[in-house]
Amino acid sequence: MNKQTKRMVSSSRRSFLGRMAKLAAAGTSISVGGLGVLGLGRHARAQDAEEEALARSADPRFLIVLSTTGGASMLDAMLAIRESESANARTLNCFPDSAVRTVGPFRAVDIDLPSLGPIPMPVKGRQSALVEAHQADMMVATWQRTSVNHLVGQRRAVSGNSAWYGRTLQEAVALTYGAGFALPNVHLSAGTGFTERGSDAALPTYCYGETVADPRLWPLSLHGSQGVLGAPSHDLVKQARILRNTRLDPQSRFGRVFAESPRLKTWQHLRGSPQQALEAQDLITQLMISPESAEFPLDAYGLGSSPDGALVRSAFPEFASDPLEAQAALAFLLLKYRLSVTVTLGPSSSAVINADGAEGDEDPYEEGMDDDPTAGGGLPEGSIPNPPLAFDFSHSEHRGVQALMWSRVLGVADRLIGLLKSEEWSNGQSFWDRSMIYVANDFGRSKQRPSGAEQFGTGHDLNDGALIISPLANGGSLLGGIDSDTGITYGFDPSTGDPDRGRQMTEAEIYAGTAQALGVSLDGVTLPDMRAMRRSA
Amino acid sequence: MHPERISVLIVTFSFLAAANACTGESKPGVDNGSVPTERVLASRQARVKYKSGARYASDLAAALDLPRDAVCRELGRYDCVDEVHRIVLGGVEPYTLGVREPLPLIAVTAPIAQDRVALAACTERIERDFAASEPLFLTKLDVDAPTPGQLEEAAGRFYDRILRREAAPYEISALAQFHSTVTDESGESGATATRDWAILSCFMVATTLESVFY
Repeated sequence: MNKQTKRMVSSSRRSFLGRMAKLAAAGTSISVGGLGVLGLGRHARAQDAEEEALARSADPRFLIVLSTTGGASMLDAMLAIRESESANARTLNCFPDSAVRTVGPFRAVDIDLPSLGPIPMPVKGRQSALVEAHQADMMVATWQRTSVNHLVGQRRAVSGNSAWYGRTLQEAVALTYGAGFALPNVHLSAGTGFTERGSDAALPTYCYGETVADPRLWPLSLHGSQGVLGAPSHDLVKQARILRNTRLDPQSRFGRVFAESPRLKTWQHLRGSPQQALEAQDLITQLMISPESAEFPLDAYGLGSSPDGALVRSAFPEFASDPLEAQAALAFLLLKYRLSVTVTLGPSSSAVINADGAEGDEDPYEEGMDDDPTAGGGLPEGSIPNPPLAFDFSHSEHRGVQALMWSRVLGVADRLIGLLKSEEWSNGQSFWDRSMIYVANDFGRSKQRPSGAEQFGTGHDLNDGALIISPLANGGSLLGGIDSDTGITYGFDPSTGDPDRGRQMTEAEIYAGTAQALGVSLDGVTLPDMRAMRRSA
Repeated sequence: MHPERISVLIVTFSFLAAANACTGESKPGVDNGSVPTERVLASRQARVKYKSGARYASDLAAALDLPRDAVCRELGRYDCVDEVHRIVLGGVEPYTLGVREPLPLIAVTAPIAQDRVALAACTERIERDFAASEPLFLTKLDVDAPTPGQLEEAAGRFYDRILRREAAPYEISALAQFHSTVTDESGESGATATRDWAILSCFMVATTLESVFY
């Protein structure tokens, strides 16, 4: 039996189903009256559709969207070209042969650079170990994007340029598997097109992303009274809420005059059973990644760190200073505690400064040390784990930024995978066995460089490739290919995966292949069967 | 057409439009203090706006006579509205987060965050009232053994200060009777029960739809 399709009969499955039933009873499941027009139809009775939606929740797939905000270049990673392979080596963005390793069908760049362009900080790009570790689950599918505008490109990376009624991949996964989850779709990064709401307004509201602005503080919004010093007991707070919700509001003049307001109805719904469901699970504790400290005096407020806090802090030790690591830590907990089926995270456009440098074992700013860049001084490696504009700092310096940021993104993916592999879903199957990391990109980067330049800036380019890491995907494969003289990628046969130099894949095709690998049924639209992107039929 | 006739028509149309926009006249109730008795016309348009966190906190600070930075601080360090729950409560933060517009949908966690802000502010206010020689809400209250009349008077003050209106009889009655719920449910009595009652009465009024939306 394929391990992805094992029936789950263990006690944890029963426990999960029991919890799901409670959530459904509490009203956090979907109102499925409109599912017929949502592409999940075929049901004459809404109750049947709801039962089916809940049944799918018992056997979910998990989507982690890990963005390469700003625009990553595949030519600086899995599709790297050696100088000896190109007829245009001096003007094409390609590497000294010694910097490029071949790992299965992929390339990996290990390179040392003296600076991050104008930032005097040495950079070590290290990809080969990460690619070697995960090559069996890695799939690169080439594609041709449709916009070089950041927000538009980001949005289309997750919507396939409105391939399925404008639903984002996250919304599609939440629609398919999220009915029994308290917070099916969580956006751990904000302000990008990757986390914009899709254009299908007809989905159940739980499908749309819940925004988390600060992963370290957000758990405090998951309980109404715990941690509020001096507040009456939560039982009394609940009594007060009941009086407010059942008498004061419904009978007030304001409540009666505006009783039909959709906003008021939503608010009243959310502060009912969904609120109770969130509070009942003690998420304010379970998702608290920070330990007791002067910065987070949890004990003094009757709070505590997550039972898995040490685990995630060990995997993401820079969680307190690096928002991406904090996002990744919370992403794991959201999946582990079976609260979400999809999480979105990624580096922000704001610079992250690490005053301790990469290792943090010595003070890089010792007295007397010349750290003035204008006087020839420099910053220690790792001082700036995330440059301003993230990948888009490539406008100033392409190679160093791509090396730094690819290592950063792949490193987070590697650690997330490690955690998910160590966590059992059920019956010997790990969370990773049913997960996918989709490395979502704004667009590609321009392929040229000034003759022989090692440091150069690049612009935006439509030509690109998508990286997917998942046991559900056709791992260990490069779908399509790259012309080593132009750096332009070409497509592949959707069924066989055979490279096709006369074809370029569309955003809709890659969206379809990604969704299909996750078991999302794309009812209602005609999209090709991207069999080549799935591990199993 | 004569200007006077135009005026008459405008008034007539305005009246008809207003009447047309309102339906669902409610039936009068019995004035026994437990149900509202006024007749209201339900708005067909029913357009209300969410009072974002910043506005809500300012209003609450004014209503409770608290310094703005004493309204709510998570873990005693982080301002609830400016920092912790800023985006959830409809705020923006373009500079580091890139959130340039309020969330298009009310966040699932927003009512919880709103409750937290109100509960923290009300707790702070009542603690100050208990310590003050001239309290804001508990002005005529024997905190150890409040009479029904004293509870009703305080209940009216919560409405007066927070919603800037006179409380309806049923509202005063509901809050005053909640004191029994506090004593019955928690087994508390005396000043402890009065304190919890006052905090929760403040909390209830401060988190009514009327307080959160406008």
